[in-house]
Amino acid sequence: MCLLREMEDHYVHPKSKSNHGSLSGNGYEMKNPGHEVCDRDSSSESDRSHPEASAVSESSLDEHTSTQSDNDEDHGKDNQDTLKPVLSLGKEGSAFLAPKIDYNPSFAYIPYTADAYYGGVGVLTGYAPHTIVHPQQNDTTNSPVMLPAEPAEEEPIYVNAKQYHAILRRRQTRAKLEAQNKMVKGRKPYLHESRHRHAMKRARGSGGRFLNTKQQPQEQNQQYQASSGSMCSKTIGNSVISQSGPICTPSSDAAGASAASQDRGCLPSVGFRPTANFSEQGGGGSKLVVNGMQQRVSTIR
Amino acid sequence: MRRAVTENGKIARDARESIQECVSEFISFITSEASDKCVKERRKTINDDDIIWSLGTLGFEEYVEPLKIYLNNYQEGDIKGSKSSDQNGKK
Repeated sequence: MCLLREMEDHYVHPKSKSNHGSLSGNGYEMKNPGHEVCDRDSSSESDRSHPEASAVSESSLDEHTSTQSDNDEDHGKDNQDTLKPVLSLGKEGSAFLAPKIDYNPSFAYIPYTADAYYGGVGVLTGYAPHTIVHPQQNDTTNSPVMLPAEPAEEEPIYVNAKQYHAILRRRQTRAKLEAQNKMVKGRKPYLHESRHRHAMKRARGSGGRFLNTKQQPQEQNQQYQASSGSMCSKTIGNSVISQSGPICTPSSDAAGASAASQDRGCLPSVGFRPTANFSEQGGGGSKLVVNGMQQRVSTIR
Repeated sequence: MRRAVTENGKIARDARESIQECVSEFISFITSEASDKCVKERRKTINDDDIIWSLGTLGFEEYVEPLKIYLNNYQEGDIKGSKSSDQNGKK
């Protein structure tokens, strides 16, 4: 009986996910029928969800089998469509993402990430639901959504309904990367010890940039590109390291062991290319790209 | 992490690595949501608005306003940083 219930949950979720691929609002709706929760959207949208709810309520094996086969096809298509752009866009996206996250102390919300990371393990407990459920930002009370448990797991985990689809997507992305063995970790932070030390000696301003420069930031970047590759990457990496000084999470890396600093400082050798690509955006843009490239390139390789 | 620990406190290496992995996963979590939105809108570049929007979508509304403030400060600092004569004591 338990196995049947788990299988039912497992069947229903690909359905909702494929719907989410087509329409985000519809994705929000599809969660509710799958978990036997009343749908509160407009009548036209609720009409769509009624057949799904009836299919789920019937709970016969034949229905589930046919539903599963249909969803498998849709699921595969949506999966292929979404995953490839994610990988390609990730480079640029991560670039824009990293500084903002670093600026704001996200320590309080790390449990959400931990939950996403350890979802399959089933170690963490569910979180209290948030007030808003629908994309229309209603004040309706939100009930936690049951996350599909891995075949080995015994109990399901309750997560925030808003993060449901994102967690499933991240699981698939992580599985794909692990299958391709692309979870590369750590890179050499700099190429030349002497140049690294010299850069560390230079005075830096409030934003982490080098002082003693009479030219504008853009011209500064042009100079970096004109010089040798290692020089350019080294400088960018060091400035990024110093930028992370006042930040809560990375500051421990900066002050911590050399291994941690290496992880944080693996930007230089990677950062040179995006700098060339985004030089038009100026100094800030380049560094945004550098920060992003670290996350994405390290995973891809 | 040191800001959250007392001055004489220490942080184990394992804790640092775990936090690093959690932060990376969180960044990927937010980025995949923003990337998904860009795919739907047929755009190739994820910008700052997309990141803030994805935070709101995933239930982190409390972060939207502070991040907008930090974004403005960052953009201003980008121009002022190279001209500032004072040096940050932490660096």
